Amino acid sequence: MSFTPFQLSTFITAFVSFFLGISVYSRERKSRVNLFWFLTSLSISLWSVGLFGVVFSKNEGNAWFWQHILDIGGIIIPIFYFNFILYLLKKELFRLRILTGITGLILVALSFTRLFKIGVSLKFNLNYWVDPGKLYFLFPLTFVLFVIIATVFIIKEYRISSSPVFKKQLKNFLFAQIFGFGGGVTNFFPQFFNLYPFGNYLVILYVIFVSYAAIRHQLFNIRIIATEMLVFAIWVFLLARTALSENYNDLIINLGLVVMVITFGILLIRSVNKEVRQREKMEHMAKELERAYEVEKNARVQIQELSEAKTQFIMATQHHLRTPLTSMRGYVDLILTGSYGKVPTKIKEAISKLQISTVRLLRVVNELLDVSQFQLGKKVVTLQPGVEIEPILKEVVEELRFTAESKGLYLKFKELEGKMPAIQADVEKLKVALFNLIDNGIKYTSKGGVTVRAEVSDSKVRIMSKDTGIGISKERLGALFDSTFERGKEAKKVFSAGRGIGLYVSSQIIRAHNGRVWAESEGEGKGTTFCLELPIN
Amino acid sequence: MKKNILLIEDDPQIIDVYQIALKAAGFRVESIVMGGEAIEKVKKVKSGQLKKPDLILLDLILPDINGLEVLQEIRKYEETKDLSVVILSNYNSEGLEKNGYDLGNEQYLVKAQYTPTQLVALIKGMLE
Repeated sequence: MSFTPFQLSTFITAFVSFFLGISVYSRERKSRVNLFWFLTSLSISLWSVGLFGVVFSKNEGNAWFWQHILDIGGIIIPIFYFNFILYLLKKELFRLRILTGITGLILVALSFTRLFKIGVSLKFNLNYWVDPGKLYFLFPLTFVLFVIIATVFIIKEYRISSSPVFKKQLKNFLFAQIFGFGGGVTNFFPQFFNLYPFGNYLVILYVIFVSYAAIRHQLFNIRIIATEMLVFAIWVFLLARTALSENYNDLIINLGLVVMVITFGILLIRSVNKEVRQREKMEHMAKELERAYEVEKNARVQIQELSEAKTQFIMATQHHLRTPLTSMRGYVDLILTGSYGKVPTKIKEAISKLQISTVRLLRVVNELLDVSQFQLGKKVVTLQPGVEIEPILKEVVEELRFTAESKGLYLKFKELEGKMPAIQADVEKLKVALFNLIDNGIKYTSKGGVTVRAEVSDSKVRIMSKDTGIGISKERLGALFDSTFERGKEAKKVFSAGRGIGLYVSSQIIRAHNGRVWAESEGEGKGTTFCLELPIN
Repeated sequence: MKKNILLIEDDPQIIDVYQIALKAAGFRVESIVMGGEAIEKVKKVKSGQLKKPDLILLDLILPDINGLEVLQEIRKYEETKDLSVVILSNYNSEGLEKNGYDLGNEQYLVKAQYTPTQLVALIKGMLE
């Protein structure tokens, strides 16, 4: 049994197309692109098998049967190919798809009539070839039309696509079309121009180009496809050899070879499959990682923007609230210090009260600004080394002495024994924290007073403000310094104008100094000791 | 002899308050509103066209430029780099204070925290 080159080319095209289609489809069955590539490959394979049958038939009856197969395959090739291109280019065009389907069905139905073909006869050295009917021209017409429209779509997409990989894929498709469909169309030549269908040999090149596109530009997963095709080809070859064995010994050897090659072939395909899937998984993970990195990067930018917006907000608030207070304090100070001349006593008294109110307002503003800074996560202290704590304590106690004495309370500061070590602190903020703690004791004490003392222990400076006030229940002690700003009933009775902010501000300032603050009380009515610790280093 | 103070500040009422207090304390005060004008002044001091002020009171947020840019300019030249500068601002952010100290200013004061009397006392202490 021997084949002519023409027969051989049709056989190879059928084989390669079939396995290429199956392999691609089995990789990703849900993909419409893969499905239509599979259908295109199957129709090419069907057409090639039909053509092989026609040119290999020994009688007209057989050739006529294979001619039907050839026509069906040939008619549906451009239909499926066109739909494959539409899916590849992500074009919906539903009506056009339906139109291609109807055209295909009509032509297939027509191919069984004498209007399409009237018979087969011997032509050139090809063996049998079709004799066209009156409407046969519709077949090459639709074939060429669909291929031209597909080409136009590919070229348009090639121009607008920004993906270099996709562009290369499209370019290879164009080359594949030139060889595949250009070569295939020469099979119409004998019917119309009495010319030999020389282009049929080129059809195989279309497979080669698509494969090249796949290898170079990740169109389909060609490593698996190539492995499968090679293995199947060896199986077919060995099976054929086994079937043609000349004696029993040959048969046994060939069978052994077949079993061995099939076993190793399966192992090889599995191994390649596994490797490719691992690689795909890694690529997928790399993409996920890249996406996660992008998300994180965007989040970081947003956080940065938010942080900048917070800073701007805080700065604007500081400016708008403090600037008018600065001039208010300034003018009041100038009046009281005689810059505008002698001030009558009554006016001086009134201005002094205005001064106290201004200072109180400034303190409230500062507290609110500090709270907003803390709650927006901004740092409010600038630590300076070598800060002496005793003068600060004395200054704060002196500042509050008038407040305590006006309530009939004592405010004592127990002098330290020896010199206290210097610490790292923000002097102004530390004053605020100490002021709030001592002031809190004065506010909630009606009889007795407040005693302030300091001591050094375990590389820490500890300051305590012990009052004889309303005391705090054990339940409330834990929440005393939190940001809920809630006060107990007794506290509201004793000092109705309190805001509950001062202790929170103090605790935040002390924390920013890497220190800690807490309160001790034996219970309601038993007084409270506010304690704070600051590290010496 | 009266000491010269250059006040770089844009709020008219604060300028007024500080000028009254400083003049009453025996200082000669010159005030500038714009940062650009302040930089020009620094250049003139550098070239010897103007006398060095004894102390500069510098606001951070000026209508045209940032007060820290003025401070940078002061620290740039040999002739002006040792000038005493007190930053006066109603902003107190760690970053701003740090930048100010990095540029060699001597004090960073929150304006609202100081009465004119306290400020004058502080300046007198510095200039002694």
